[in-house]
Amino acid sequence: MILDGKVPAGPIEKKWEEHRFNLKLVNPANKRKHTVIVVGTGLAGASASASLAELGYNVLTFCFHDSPRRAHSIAAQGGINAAKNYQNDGDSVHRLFYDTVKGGDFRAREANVHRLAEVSVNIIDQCVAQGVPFAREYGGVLANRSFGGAQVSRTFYARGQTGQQLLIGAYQALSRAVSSGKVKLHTKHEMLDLVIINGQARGIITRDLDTGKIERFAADAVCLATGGYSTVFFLSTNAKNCNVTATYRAYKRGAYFANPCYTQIHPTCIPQSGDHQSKLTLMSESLRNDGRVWVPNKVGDKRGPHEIPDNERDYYLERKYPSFGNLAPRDISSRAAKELCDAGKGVGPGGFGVYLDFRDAIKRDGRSTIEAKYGNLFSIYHEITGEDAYQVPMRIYPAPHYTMGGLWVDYNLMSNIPGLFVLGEANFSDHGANRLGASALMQGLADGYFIIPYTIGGYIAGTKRETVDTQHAAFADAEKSVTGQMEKLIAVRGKRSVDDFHRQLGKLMWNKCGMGRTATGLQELLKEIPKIRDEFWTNVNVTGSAGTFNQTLERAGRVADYLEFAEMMALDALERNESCGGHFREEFQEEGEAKRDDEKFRHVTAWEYKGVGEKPAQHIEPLEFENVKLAVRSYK
Amino acid sequence: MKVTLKVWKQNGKNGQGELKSYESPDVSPDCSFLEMLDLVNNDLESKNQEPIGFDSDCREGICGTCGMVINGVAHGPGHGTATCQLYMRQFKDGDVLTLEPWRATAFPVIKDLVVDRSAFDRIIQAGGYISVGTGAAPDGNAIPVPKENADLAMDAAACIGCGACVASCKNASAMLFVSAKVSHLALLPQGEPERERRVIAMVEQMDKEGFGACTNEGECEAACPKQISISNIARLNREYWRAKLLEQPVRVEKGG
Amino acid sequence: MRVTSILLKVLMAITGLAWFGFSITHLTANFLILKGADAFNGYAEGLAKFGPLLWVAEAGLVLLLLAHVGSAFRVTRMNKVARPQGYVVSQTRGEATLGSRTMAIGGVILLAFLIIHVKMFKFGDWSGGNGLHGLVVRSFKNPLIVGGYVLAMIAFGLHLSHGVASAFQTLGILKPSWRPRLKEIGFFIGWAIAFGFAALPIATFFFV
Repeated sequence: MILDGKVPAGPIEKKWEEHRFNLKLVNPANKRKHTVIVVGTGLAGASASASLAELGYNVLTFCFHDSPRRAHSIAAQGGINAAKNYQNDGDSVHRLFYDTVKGGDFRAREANVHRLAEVSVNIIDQCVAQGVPFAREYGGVLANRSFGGAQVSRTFYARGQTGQQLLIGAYQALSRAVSSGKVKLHTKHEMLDLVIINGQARGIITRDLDTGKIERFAADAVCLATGGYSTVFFLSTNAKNCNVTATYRAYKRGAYFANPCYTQIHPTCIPQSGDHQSKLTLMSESLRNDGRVWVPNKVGDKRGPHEIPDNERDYYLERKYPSFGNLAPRDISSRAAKELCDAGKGVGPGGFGVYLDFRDAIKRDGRSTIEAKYGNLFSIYHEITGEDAYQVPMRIYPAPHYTMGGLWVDYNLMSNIPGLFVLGEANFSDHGANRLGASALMQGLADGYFIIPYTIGGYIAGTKRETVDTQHAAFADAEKSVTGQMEKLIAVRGKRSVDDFHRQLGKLMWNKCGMGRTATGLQELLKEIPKIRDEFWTNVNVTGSAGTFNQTLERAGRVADYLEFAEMMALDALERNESCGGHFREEFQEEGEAKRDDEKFRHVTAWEYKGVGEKPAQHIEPLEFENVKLAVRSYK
Repeated sequence: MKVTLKVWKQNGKNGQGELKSYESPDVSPDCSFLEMLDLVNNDLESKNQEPIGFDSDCREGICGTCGMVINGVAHGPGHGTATCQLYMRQFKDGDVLTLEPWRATAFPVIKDLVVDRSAFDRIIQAGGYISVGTGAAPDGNAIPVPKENADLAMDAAACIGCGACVASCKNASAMLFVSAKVSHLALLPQGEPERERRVIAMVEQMDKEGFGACTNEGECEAACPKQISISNIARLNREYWRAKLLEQPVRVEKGG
Repeated sequence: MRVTSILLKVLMAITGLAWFGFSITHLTANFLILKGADAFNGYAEGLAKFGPLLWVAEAGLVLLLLAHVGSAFRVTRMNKVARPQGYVVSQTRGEATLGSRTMAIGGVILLAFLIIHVKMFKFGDWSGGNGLHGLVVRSFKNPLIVGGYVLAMIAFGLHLSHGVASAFQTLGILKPSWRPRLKEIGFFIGWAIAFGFAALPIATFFFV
């Protein structure tokens, strides 16, 4: 089936403005009669909840954390982009639009990206007004930096904790809405199913993580802002509890999942130290502004970094991408590191690491300057590795970090299921095949503050819905499937722990569907995943019961979903016979660079669930590029 | 290396708690403390025994989910770090570690080392925000903020809401948490219009939740993973009595 | 008006600082004992001449004390309710001091001391020769009284070593950069005053 993204007609600069005018409005007095469910309280979910409540809707907000402030948006370090052009360096809405489309390797929907660039400026204003303590110049104006390979300074930041500060801004707005009574906040509630009535999303089933109680909630529309699926790799920079369950269960209820193979591998993470490891830690990309990336020229060089003279070092990013150097985009830097480590030039235990060296920067600017800029990162590095990066170069290696794929949505951020909206990292919309640095925060907040408040009104005003409550049979059915699955998990009483299966799946996914993918590897993967899944359902051990606090059961449900989801991800990677952005198929390259196939794959692939182990149905949304010329994405 | 754990086990806030002993498997010094607990739990699970309940999420010290008292010290022996940022190399082979939950009336135990910190959310809901609706904001550079103020506000805003300040305070006081939010917003011009209302509402909520008062020892500051300074508590005190003095009379705006 | 923990603490700080001020004048006057009976008795009688004014001042001191003790009592109770169950293993990060940990019990000791002290001297028998000076000297020849005095002054030193700096922090009126110095100054002034008070009975016992 060909999917319609419902992109409005007209010139790209006018699309959003005219669309907003054309969207039906809900009478202010009527808004209080409508209920909206928002699942997730990261940047997208918290900002959406607050904004919808301010408009007058009754909002039911859910998160599985003990506080909405703990969502993983909080861990974003670098910054947030906005086309403010405060630095007078030639930035504009069009340039941010262009950079994002190009950065996404021409696999994003133009109209969405343009809208994102347009509202980026409003986001900064909103956050400043909320009291987000962005970095300032002495004159009191906002400071900017260049970030993640952009050639203009458009990134706003709050030290190395921009995500934290933006999330706290949104959390405060949400808290205000809670105190006004317009938002009913349900913390420690994990969404376990989506309820569909007459083809429309009308509610969710949740489990109270403290008591095990299963509850039903009905609404006029449901918004999922539940983040990405990087933890399919087990080891990633994501939080331990990040998972695909909310979006995957919506997928099982009929929502299409788009481009699951687009995953972003962040180039600057601390390498893994052993099998005990539960997550990987990101070192801010800003380090690449001053650090130089290198490996020894010689394969298997066991000398310490200081013993290797400059002429025996390969500063490979500077060599291969002279104009961007160490600031080459994430996918490209990650791949270059993997290539050299695979060739045996990696450093550190296991050989999966490259040096990020500050020797020259310290010589040039002095230790105190470097300390002022990156002191906290150096201390994080020291804490984790026990090494002093002022003395020896850091060791870094790429790690899964963000997922561009997600539930398919149209221009209104509505999935193919009417009334089911998907926001932030959970949708697939704006980053194409690769996300630029400092754009995730921008998208999450754009969706929540400035897009969903309009488009949800259009849906609510423009559709007929029957009155339903949680006694409806569809709720009972969904609840039964949720409790049924939990009982099944507990009944297995096998010998292996949940984490053990997750680790096994993660390792496999990383090796065969990580930074480099091949048809053979993916085909093997498609054979192996069902085997792990089968073993999981016969040999997992979930202790305790469903009706109480049970962290093992929480994890088991999530891993069960990953064991199905991974198959779709591998299939998507196999079907996409090209390399683009974060999806690198080794068969499709030219002089080591990703080779797109615009003729055959200039489209979004969205998958429709057909049953566990069954091949999902494939749907296509063709991508039209009317404002940006398709070009080879070169950073040389 | 191996350690012996004495872990507080408790079901629900009214449950009778007690210490239970566990032996860790042999782990590398590069293993994080929580990863060691993961391994202990995986071990227990595969033996069909109840695992230790503990909370964590980001495991890089920013989300504020984790937290436990290790040998009497909130977040363990590190300085400026959360529990998730501890590594086994900070302990010795054969160490006996007593793990207890945050203890405070306002933080009832849910399970073992997991406590309910929703009191913090209710304090923020009482007034820890700036009332600006989406769309109502002027241009970001319309309100200049002196760099010094922005920096001080950021220092305070770095709070992760983990509750270690409460746990380490002999009075289970939440003053450091509340003062961080009051300072963050009082230091910025955007926070000015609600300055008095905010501090009064937040302090009243803090008391209502059952937190204790501040003895000005500074144990909270020393335990804080973000090293929030107790000079924020001095500011909170000042903001509070200043607000109380300004509260009664109707405020007359300048000019006009 | 709702009486919040901060208001109680502010009240405790203001009344504590007032009594801190009073203790300094008291100590200054004490040294007159060393100058001899005439000087000291002259001062005491001079004070008495203020008559009703003195009563007002004394009543003021009593009220300040009651407010201090009352707020301390409420705050302490609040703190106990906030942490009913302590840690099995308890340890500090080195910021807590003996002074900070004994504010309440030290306060109770000081209150008891004050009552005995006032009864012993202000309402004592001044007629045994040499007026108040004689009473003081005679009392401080009794090792039990001297011992009790010194112990009370240790409690006073501990109380002030934390209390003075703490009061300023509670009022929030000093620049943050002063705080570390303030802690030290408070500690030294506190102990200096306590030592000054304790020196008198000791000196009297051994040398007068």
